[in-house]
Amino acid sequence: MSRSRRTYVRPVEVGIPYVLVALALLYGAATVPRFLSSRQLGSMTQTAAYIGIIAIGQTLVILIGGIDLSIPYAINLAAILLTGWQAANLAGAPDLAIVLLIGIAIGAVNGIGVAVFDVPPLVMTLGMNSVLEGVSLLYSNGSPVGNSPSFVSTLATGEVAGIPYVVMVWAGLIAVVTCVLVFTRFGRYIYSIGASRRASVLSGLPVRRTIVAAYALSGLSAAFGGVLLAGYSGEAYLGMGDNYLLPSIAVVVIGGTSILGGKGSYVQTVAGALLITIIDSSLITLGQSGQDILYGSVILFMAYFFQVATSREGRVPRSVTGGLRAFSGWLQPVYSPKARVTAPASEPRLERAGLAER
Amino acid sequence: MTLSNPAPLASSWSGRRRLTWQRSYAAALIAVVLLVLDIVFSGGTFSSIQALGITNDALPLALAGIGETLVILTNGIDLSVGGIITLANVTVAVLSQHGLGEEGIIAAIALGAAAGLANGLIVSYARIAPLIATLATSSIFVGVALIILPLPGGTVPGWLPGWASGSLGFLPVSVIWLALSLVSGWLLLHRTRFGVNLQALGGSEPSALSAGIGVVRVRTLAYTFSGVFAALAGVVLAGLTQSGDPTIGAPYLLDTIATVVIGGTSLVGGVGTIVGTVLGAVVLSLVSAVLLASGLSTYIQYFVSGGIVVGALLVQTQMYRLKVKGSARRRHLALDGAGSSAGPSAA
Repeated sequence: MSRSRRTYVRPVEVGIPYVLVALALLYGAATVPRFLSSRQLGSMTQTAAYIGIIAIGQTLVILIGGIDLSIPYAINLAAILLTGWQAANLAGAPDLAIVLLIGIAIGAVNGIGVAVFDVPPLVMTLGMNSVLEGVSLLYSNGSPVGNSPSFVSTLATGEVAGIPYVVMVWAGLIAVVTCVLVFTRFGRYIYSIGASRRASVLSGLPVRRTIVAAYALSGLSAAFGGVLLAGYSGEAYLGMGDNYLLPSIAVVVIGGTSILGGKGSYVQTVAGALLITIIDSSLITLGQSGQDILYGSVILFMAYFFQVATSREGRVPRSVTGGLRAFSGWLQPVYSPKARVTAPASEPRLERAGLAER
Repeated sequence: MTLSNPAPLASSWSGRRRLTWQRSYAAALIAVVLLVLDIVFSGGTFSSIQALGITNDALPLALAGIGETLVILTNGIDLSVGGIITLANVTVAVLSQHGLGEEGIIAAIALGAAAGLANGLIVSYARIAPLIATLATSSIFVGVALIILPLPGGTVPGWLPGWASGSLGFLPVSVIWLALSLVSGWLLLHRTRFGVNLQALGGSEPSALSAGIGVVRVRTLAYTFSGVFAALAGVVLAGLTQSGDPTIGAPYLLDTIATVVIGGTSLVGGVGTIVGTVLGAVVLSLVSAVLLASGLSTYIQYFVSGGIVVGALLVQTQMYRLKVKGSARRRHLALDGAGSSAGPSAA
């Protein structure tokens, strides 16, 4: 039991991102004045909480071997509907419930497309994002109206004893999601399908239902994120979700969850969310352009890092410099005896591609 | 269970080729239907202005789509097409503002090639999943573009708009470019060693490896070509809008993939045509033309283009499923083999 669990979530892989979080905190404390004040820490965890909550669904979907690119307009539609209904005097808890249900429905449609009709997740969710953008524009007619209900604003921005409500909600969700992933059948199904969908089908797991559920939960977490963001800014505006697509994937990848599925955990995503927030706020002078470059670089670095750190051989599969060297052969004249000698035979090539063990 | 390669279905090379070409028929059919709709909505006429609008819309899409087709044929994906388009676009605009018109265009294309090469090296050698790698580099490219040109502006060389979007008599120049890009894409894919190796790689990477194909180089080159084609699209867009815009590439993330998918290229690699992709670009630009002519809200366009992409793939996967059922069960074993090697979990 414990052995099989270790293969899904290895302590080293969970530890690495948290070590980086600690390092980033130290760097911030050394360079930014009052970086470790409770006020600053509170606002950083609050920012991390928004990304973290939105990334719950992305984590589940990536663990199952998919990807959800419909998050931006799932967020935006949820926010627009919530404030729109408030403007139409329908505000209240039922509204919130209906918005969240719509989120689940959006995700379920994604999941059905992926699981039942075999549409590749990338295209299914990208198309869904476009459809939702159309729905958002049609519903709001280009300019969303209304404000977020007061209790949502309180939830999104209020705090008690210096701890924002959002952070408390996030802490609860971290516990719930982690328990679901580690202790329930549903969690085990997710890891199993992510590791090998074929094997899961042959083992008789309810593969399609699990995939639909994972995408539905992604829709739910995106809708909840949209509600919180509407509460944060007090209103809805078009494009408010656009800045969450890349971060939602970034925090999952930075945490070390494999994009191919089956390996990783939500606890790692939490570390990813904390890390990206700390880096963001320790480099305060960063504009939009700097932030874009930073996000891209951090994703690339961490993806490469985990690729190396967790590859089965435990070593660099192919170094980038080695890669550049491979092209140098093109510049050599063909009659050079050296080129003939160093021309790779087919066998080492197979070995390098990890195919030799078959 | 998952989409696997249809190659084993066809017993001979000609059979496989037929299967590949058939996949672009749907795009041709949709294009004809949309063209008829467009003519109906605009009162039974089809002016050269209309044709100009449609082909001008289609040209950057087709260019970016041809590059994306090459990458998707290798069983990868390039999500940085929008970023490279933006980068090339702002490079042309800013350098032209400083009096370096022609140099700017060459620089933009070189920059696109470098960006594509970077993608290829990261995917092939650092072995980061293409989806993540290109999403990350896209973010970097857009960031760099924002540094080059923070707000829309700049100029383009005076001759560029005419060359990119003018017309020769009644014939839009963009039609000539569309035809040229179609022919060069086809030549690249079918008449060069690189293109044939690329198709072999997409069909089955282990087989390509054992056949001695330099899989890694071919894949790297595919991403490089994707960068070059995206940069060309960015230059064409600069000509169309006569300025630079650091947000111009954003819609091309979905639209490029849509173009490729509507053209019948399989997202799991190995099967696809350049003709299909160019037709896909024409279909997408016809969609916006029809919506414009019909007087419906322009907001519906997002709805329709999203729906068309998902619908096209739905048709693809379901047709494939029917073919699997139709073809004898004796092929079951062969299919299993293809499926397990196509899945990422097998490696």
